[in-house]
Amino acid sequence: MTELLSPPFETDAPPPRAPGRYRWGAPPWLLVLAALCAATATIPLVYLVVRTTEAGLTELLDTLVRPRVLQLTINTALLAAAVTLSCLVLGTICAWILTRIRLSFQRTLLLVSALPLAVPSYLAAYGWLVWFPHLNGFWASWFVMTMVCTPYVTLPVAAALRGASADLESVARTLGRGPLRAFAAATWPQIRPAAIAGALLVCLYSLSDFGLVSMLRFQTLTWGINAAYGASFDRNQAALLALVLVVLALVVVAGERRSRRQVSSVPGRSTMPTRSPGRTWPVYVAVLLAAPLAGVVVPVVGLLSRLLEAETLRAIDVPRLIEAVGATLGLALAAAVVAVLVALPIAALAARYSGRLVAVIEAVGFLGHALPGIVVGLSLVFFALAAVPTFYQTSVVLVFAYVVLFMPRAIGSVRSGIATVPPSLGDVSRMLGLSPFQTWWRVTARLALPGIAIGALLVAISAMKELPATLLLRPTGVSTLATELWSRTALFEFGAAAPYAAALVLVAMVPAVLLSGIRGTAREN
Amino acid sequence: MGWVTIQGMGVAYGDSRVLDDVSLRIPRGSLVAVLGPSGCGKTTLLRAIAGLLPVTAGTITVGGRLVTGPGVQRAPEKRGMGWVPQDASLFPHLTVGENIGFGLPRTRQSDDLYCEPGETAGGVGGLFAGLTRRARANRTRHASLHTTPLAPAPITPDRSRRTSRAARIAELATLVGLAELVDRAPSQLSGGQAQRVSLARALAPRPDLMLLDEPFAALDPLLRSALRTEVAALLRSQHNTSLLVTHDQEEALSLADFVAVMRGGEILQFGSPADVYERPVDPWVAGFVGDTVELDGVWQGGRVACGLGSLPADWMGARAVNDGGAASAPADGTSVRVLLRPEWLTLSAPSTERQTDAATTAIAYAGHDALVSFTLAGGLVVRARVAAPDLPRVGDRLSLGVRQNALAYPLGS
Repeated sequence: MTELLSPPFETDAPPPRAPGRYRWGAPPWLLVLAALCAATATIPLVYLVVRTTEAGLTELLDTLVRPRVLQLTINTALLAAAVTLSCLVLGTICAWILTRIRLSFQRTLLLVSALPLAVPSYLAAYGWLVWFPHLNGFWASWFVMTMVCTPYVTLPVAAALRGASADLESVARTLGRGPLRAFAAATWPQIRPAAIAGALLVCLYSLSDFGLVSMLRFQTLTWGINAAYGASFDRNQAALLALVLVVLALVVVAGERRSRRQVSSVPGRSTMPTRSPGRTWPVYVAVLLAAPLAGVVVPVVGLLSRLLEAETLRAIDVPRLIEAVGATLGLALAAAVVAVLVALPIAALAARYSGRLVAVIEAVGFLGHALPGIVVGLSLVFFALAAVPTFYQTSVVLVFAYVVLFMPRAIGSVRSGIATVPPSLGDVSRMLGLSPFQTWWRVTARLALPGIAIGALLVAISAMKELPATLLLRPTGVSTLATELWSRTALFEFGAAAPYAAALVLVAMVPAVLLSGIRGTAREN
Repeated sequence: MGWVTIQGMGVAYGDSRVLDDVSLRIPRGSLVAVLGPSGCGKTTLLRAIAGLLPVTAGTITVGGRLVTGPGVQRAPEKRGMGWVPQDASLFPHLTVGENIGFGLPRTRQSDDLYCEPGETAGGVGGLFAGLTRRARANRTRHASLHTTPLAPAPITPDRSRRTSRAARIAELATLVGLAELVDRAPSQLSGGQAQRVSLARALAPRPDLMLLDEPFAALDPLLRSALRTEVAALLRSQHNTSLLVTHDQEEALSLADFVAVMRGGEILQFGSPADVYERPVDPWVAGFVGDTVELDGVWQGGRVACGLGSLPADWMGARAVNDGGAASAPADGTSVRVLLRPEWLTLSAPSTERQTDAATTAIAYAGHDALVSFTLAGGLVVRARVAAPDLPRVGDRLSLGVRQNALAYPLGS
């Protein structure tokens, strides 16, 4: 077939380059700059390792085999595995319903099933505690976490299913396989990468989650780290637990990389016909709505019910609330600006050039993705105390922690923003007499602006909702909405926590609304 | 001496060589087409001339100015070349007029588009060139010191820069026939219009050399042939020196003053379109630029004996008369490959000369003409292009003749 399509002239030239990338090596200054930016992301991990080994190897091994540490590790791994598995099953089913069943209000259903992403896990836990104050332990944590995390699987799998060719499944059916076996044989391999990528997100999320498990009193490593750190006489143990957690997270990331097989895309263009659900539609809708109901509606209604109690309204400390809103916004804004600035060179490099060095730099930039917030927080406490004591307990270190944690989001969207600008526009601009810098400013950056803005907003949203690193690193006297909410819930003051929870939801909605606005205009153009 | 001279140029991606010892001379004011199959390195050649790729060897001079050479690698923005990419590549955030004016200096900041040799480009310093007052002063001074008589005068800075800029935009928009569309967004243009704007944009700063990278390839066939004729006329009317890259032999032959045929990173043949078509240097070039009829033959002192009788022939595209000939020509009796163009065959009533009698076996009708297959006495099949109205019918017996010297090449070439 290929012989028929290609022209009959044989050539010994190398195959044409991938569009949008230069085959030439990146300019050295960009490589150096990007490498420096990526290197900042390694500071917490490197310092954590340094700090732990300082304590001495024997002591390290001693601590490691203590039953307490083992118990925490097993708890963490069990919860992560259970949540990942249940999210994978529920998310894939939801994605299948969204793409293959003809339901009314399909777009709305898709939006609704993405909603739990907007709710921080500790807020969901808070919402459930309002209704059931005695909820605690493994099953409660598993349930709420699954409901919060399912969209991480639903959304990518739905997208993959929409793009998957249905031809193979049809062929499998005509060759005598039943619907389930045909799906497994033909369609699952096409959506597998998306499903596994989603599962990775879920797994990392549940490994590094601190707020939800603490509120539901299930003792995992993150809880143990915070407790050990709070006890303050045993900081070595906190560092060690953090190291164990990081190793778990890195193992998960490495496992996902290994299982990520290259899937050759199937050229067929036809999509699977959607089926009419008939009388069973309430079943499908119920499955779809399970996660949004449990992850959003129950907590938010609980929150509102508490908020509207007269007692709560009377007790709102308005100046303190405004102060927390201000601190949250200011920190998030600073984090967004710095994260985008640091991400820019890495993203520019990754969008335009390929090669081993470029891949390494990009991967290092993504390190924060695998680092739990509490680990970054703890490591930066040590680092600030040892290396830059002037910055200890200042917003500088906290913003830096946000940058390390959320730089991957900025890199991702800035990179795709830059990648959508055809390199030929840059060529044209150069040929018309503009220097590389002027070209970047007047053409590339100008056109990549939506991507850059989305990156900044994603960082801002994440920073607003961040809890564990903020708890460890916030300057004395500064509280964000997340920390206020957490400290009140920890004391079972659900009513007093309500205004902060409501403010957090509202404040985090601002960038979310902006985000959908930018995406909307970007699509129109 | 050409206006643009490329000598011994090589380009390599890592270990793989894409261009090897390419030399090319482009006379001033001419349109040269680089013709080759995809992947032959023709776009690489264009990008290397533009300075968008570093070369590993060779020199490039434009109008006497060295732009690439040992130790010299001028930045693309300092070469004074125009670039028309395959997909028009209009800036989507600017209007048509702003696109055309993109390369025209807007303020005093970037007034010297043309820089002179002696200036090294690249490096971090080069990034900020044009942004600092001192760098600009330096460059202007350089320009005045090193102006060669061949180099075009830089656009003289005048007080009415803004109006002259607007006038130039209007002039070019009119030139490409889009005067009323200057306020449109690029997304509102058709493919042909976008390509015209791209052309106007490249012409605006009055480049010394226009580089066109398959500018018509993305257009539909009908529009393509109309636009390319128009563009070629426009480039000639502007007395522009242009280098056009294409894989379409019809485009190259019909538009260009000279055609360079490329394959595997080498230029195989450079000559006028008629040279390349009628006297290709090897069978591959012959087959790439047009249809061929291939026969086995035996060389006999300027003639070949083949299925169509004994024909006068040229050895490897060279005219036997001009060439000292015999030295390069093979010994008599050598088996050779004989090539003809289908339209060189003539038809006549069956003659007594039995050898060239042929039976019509198939007709591929194309309206204006037809490719007619004939089976010769020995079972050999040849195809002749026959002008439309007087087509034979299948089964007709005719005698074939050849109106032009056949081409002979060594076997296995």
